[in-house]
Amino acid sequence: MAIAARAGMTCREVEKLLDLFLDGELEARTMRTVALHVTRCEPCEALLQGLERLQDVVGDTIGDAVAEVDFARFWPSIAAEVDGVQRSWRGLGGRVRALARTPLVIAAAMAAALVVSAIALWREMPAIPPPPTVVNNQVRIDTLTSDAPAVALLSESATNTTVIWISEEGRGR
Amino acid sequence: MRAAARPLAAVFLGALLAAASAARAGGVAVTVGSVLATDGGQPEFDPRLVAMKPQFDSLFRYSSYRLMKQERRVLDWGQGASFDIPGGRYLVIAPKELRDSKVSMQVMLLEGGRPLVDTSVALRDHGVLLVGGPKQLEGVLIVAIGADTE
Ligand SMILES: [Zn+2]
Repeated sequence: MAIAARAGMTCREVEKLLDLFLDGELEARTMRTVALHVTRCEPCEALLQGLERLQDVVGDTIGDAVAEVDFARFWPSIAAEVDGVQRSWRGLGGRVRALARTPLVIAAAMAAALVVSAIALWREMPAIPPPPTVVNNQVRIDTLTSDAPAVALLSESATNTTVIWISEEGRGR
Repeated sequence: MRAAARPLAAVFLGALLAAASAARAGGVAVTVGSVLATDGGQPEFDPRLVAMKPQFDSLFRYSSYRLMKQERRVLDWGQGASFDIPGGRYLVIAPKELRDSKVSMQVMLLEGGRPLVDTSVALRDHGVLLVGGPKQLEGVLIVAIGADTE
C-alpha cells in the first residue's frame, strides 16, 4: 500500500510509524506527513514525546557534554580516523535505541557507552586539528514554499552564507 | 556535575566520530544546531558557535547568541530524518544526492501542523545553511544545518 503518497494519516497509522520516525527510517514524504500530523495532533504528539523522552536520557547527557566541547572544531567540518571505535559506538547506539524501553537497560547501555567513548576520547583528543579557515556555504535554492506570512532570503558575502528568514509578523499572536 | 563532564564530552565525541565514519561509508552526516538569538541585556556569544561568529555578526543584529541544542546524524541518500527543534517544531531533512560537490536535500521546518519552510536546496559539501526567524522565548530561533559527506 502506498502510505507514502497519502496526504493525511489517521492517528493509528501514525502511531505505528512513530518509532521509525524517531529513528529516521521513513521515506522522506512519509516523514513529512507524520511530522505534519504530529505537530497538529495532541495525542500523537504526547505519544511521540514519550518516546523522545526515552531517547533524551541519552540525548540530554550528550547535550550537556556540548558545553565542554569546542564547537568550532566540529563545524564546519570534522576530521577523524578511528574506525574500530566508531563501529563499536554505532553498534551500541542501535542497541541503546532498541532497548530504550527499560530504564535499567538504559543505565547499562550508558555505562557501556561511556567506556567505549572514553577510548574514543583518549585516542582522538590530541589528534583533532582546527577546522580550515576558508569556508564556503554557497547554496542553491531550487524551490521554496512557506505557510509563514513572509519569507526573505539573506546572504552574506564573505562565506556565501544564506539565511532563509521567516517572518511571523502579522500573524496576530 | 563538573566531574561528570569529561566522560560525557567523550560520549559526544564518540557520537561525532561515528557520524564522520558513517558519512565516509556513503551517507551524509547532517548537523542541526538550534541557536537562540536575543536582544537587550548583556551581549553574549556562545563560545561553541565561535566558528560562525563572522557570519552571525554580518547577517544579524542580535546582542546574544546561545546554542540551545545540537544534533548530528548520518543519513542515507533518499532517507528522511526528523530533528526536534525547540518550541515544539520539527525539522525534516531528506538528502537526495551529491552532485558537483553539492548536497541536494529537501528541508522542511514544521510548526503546529504547517510548514514554515519547505525547500529544496543544494548546499555545498561541508557548508552550512541557516533558517531563522521563528519566535522563541524572548528572542528568535536560528537553525543551522550542515552537511558533510566525508
Ligand atoms: Zn494523531
